[in-house]
Amino acid sequence: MLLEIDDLRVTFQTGDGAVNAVNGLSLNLDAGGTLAIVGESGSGKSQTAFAIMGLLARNGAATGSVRLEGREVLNLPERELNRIRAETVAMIFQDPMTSLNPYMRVGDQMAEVLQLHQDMSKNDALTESARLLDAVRIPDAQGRLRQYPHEFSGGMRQRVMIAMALLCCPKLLIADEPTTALDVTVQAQIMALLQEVRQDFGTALLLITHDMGLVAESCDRTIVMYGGRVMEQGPTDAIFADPSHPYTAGLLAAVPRLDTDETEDDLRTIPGDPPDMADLPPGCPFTPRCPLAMDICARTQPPLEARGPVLRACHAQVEAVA
Amino acid sequence: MSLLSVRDLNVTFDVPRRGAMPWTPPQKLRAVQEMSFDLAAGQTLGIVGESGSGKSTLARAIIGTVAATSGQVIWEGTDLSQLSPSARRKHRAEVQMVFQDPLAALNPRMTVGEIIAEPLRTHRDISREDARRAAQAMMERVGLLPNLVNRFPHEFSGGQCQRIGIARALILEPRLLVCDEPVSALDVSVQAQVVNLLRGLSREMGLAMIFIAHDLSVVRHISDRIMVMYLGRKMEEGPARDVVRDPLHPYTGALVASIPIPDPRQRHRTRARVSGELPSPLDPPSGCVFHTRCPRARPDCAWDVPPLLTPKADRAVACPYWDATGTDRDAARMSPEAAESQGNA
Repeated sequence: MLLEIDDLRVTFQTGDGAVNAVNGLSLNLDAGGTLAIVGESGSGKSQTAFAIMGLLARNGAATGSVRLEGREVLNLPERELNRIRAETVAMIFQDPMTSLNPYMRVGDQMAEVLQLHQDMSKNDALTESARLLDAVRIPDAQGRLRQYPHEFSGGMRQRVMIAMALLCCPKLLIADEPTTALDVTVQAQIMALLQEVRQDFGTALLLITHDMGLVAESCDRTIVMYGGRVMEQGPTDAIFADPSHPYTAGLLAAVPRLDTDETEDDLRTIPGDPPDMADLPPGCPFTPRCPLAMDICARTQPPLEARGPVLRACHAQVEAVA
Repeated sequence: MSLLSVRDLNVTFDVPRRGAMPWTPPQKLRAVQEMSFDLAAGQTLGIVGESGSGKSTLARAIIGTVAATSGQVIWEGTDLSQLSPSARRKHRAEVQMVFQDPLAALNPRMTVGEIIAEPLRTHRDISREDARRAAQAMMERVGLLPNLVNRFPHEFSGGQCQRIGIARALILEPRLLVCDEPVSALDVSVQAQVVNLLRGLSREMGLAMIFIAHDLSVVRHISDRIMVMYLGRKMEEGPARDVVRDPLHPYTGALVASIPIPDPRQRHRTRARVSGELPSPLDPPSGCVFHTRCPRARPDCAWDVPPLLTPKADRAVACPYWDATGTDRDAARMSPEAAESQGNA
């Protein structure tokens, strides 16, 4: 098992009191596997990734267990985390412009990673960087090394980020909304590239996104989060074919689709607004918006229970979820 | 007569060259080129394109916040550029706009009631008390609790802020609503609420809409007609359903194919993908602006700007090889049923 997370909780101390961003998340990811965490803003999907990487903001604290190749990495000291970052796990972010150093040539930023982590000489590091830029299909890789990030287009910058993440051949790649800032035609290119390099490098992919379409296209397993809690988790095929949680069902129905012809009807909506993380009900966070909400829902959090290959956290009967 | 007609509209911006001497002529950025279309009363036109395609500039030229370089914007037979300042001011009440970032479009120091009533106070001679009552009635129509009238924008969620923006735009009962990416900053579940609200209101009030978005699936859902733009030019226009089901222009085909479908069973469909990214609008390709990325490009595509053809009733396409695009059209994603019914036709 490459990544094992057990009962991860992330709490932030804020002016409004303690905010629980992630509440008891558990997951497993095999080497080379693909897993998506899907959710809307405030679902806790990004904080999960930050907790794995040890990148939580200063007022945040994580408890539980995160094991990478059997080794506990949660709350490791910075020095040891730095070894794991890049070599075992690497991350790409939503906005490539703010993740690259605008004052450094792309080649120098990439070489720096190799010099630091693998004690390469600058020359070897630059050669290796060029090889990776080539691997992410950037034309004229050698020449591009001497350019600055602003000389790259948005899609090219995201390619640089991917190349940089792959420099030390990590076993796990975490992609946090990697295509949200990109145009749709470029998004399709980047997603295809992620799949290709994943296969070439044998890397596992943890994709964090709000886009159900991207999940369906690129990940074998899916975790649906809402208000910091897991609503449903299991094989992507099963969840999409037969969502057993009212939130998943609502989310799938709310996406306008091009492959159906139902333009005459209104879209099905989930009423209400995304949850206020500082003011969640003690029970299921989806209760205020749930069409199947019962008295018990607001009081007690439903446990994650197995239904076939899928785990679901809902008090309502499966049959009631249409 | 159409409510709104746009004829040969061009919008060109002067971009100063960096580090150049002050007397060197600036570069021309042609944001909108030779744009013509008609919009009937009560109809919704969706405008789709990637960033840099000129769709927002076109919207701004229509409402008059950006000056057109040449061409006409005609409102019920009257050229807007010929209007006197006072007539122009009167016209502004007929066309209103909804913006992308719902919170940034609202004044943080005004209460929601003041924000929604402000257009009334500007355009109509109305007492403060009546304006407030009208604002509350409008809040109810867009799905906000009228007793929140004294709250400030920061107390609302993104979806609610967008409802406030819509209420402000509709309080003058305009004939045309221009929405510039109204749902792209919202969460999926809230996005559907706002799309339904806009659709419902436009039917109720007989409102014409120009709906600008980069997301083709949202645009198709809300629009009667769709126009696809690329680097300032119209690539294709037609009834929403037909444009998506049977794209004539290779760029439209690529857009359709690029949108991921939330159905794992369709994961392995073949998709016509385009390479590369949008070229700089400062230095657009010669001839057909799309030829550098076009899977069907032929040598002559780089020579002349292709004229708008009308290969089928009610369809317009700026590609002389629209028929040859059939092969990648079939490869483009489409439900098996839709593909079948097309094959039978």
